[in-house]
Amino acid sequence: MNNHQLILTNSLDQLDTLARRLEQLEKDWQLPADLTMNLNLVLEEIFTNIVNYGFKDAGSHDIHITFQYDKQEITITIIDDGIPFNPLEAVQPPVLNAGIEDTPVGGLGFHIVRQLMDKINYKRENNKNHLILSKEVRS
Amino acid sequence: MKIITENNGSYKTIRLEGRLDTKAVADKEADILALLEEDIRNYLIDCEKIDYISSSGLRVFLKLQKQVSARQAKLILHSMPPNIYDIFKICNFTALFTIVDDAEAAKKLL
Repeated sequence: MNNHQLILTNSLDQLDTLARRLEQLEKDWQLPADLTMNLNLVLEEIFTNIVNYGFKDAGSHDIHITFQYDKQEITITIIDDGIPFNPLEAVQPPVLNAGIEDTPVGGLGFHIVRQLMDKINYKRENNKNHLILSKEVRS
Repeated sequence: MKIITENNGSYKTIRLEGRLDTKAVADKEADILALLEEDIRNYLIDCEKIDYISSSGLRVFLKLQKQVSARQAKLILHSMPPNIYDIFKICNFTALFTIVDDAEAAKKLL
């Protein structure tokens, strides 16, 4: 089993670090490029949401991201100490069959996450949000 | 993200290149929306060199489409790589946009 951990602070500048780390993992673990693009997208949506809405204070917070690659499955765990937020309950799927005038500009991020990952679980533990996502790796 | 534009008389080509991620969009969204001009009614967006798009990138497309529709102008996307098309598809954006294979096919729709 392969493991990798990344600690980011709550700043959107860190998205570059995230993207570079995924490129590195793609090489190290020989993952398909389409998969890492999708994982980058999923993590960007979740990370951006945590940074923009997760904290009530203006202080610095660490966001821990761990990657596990085992038996053709990638599991990613994102842990933050922000306000309790279970996206599985909180985020309603956007209206996707509306015409162009009625399509809401927001709400797409977590819809993408749901579509791209196979399994998503949430738990609140030790005053932290744990979001656990997994995806089968097809080579 | 790089933005390259070309005025071809009756239409304008906008080529977006690189990553359309949260940060790039925060920096460049206003520039992209400012490319729409009062007296140009047709816009081709060349997507060939887009190598990444997040929901913030999709939102820019949506805003462009809304502004173009409001003015009864035309927006055509072309040469979109399959992995980018997949993201459009899961968000049902393929139903909201005219997306064709290449620039030739796009010009035929003008």
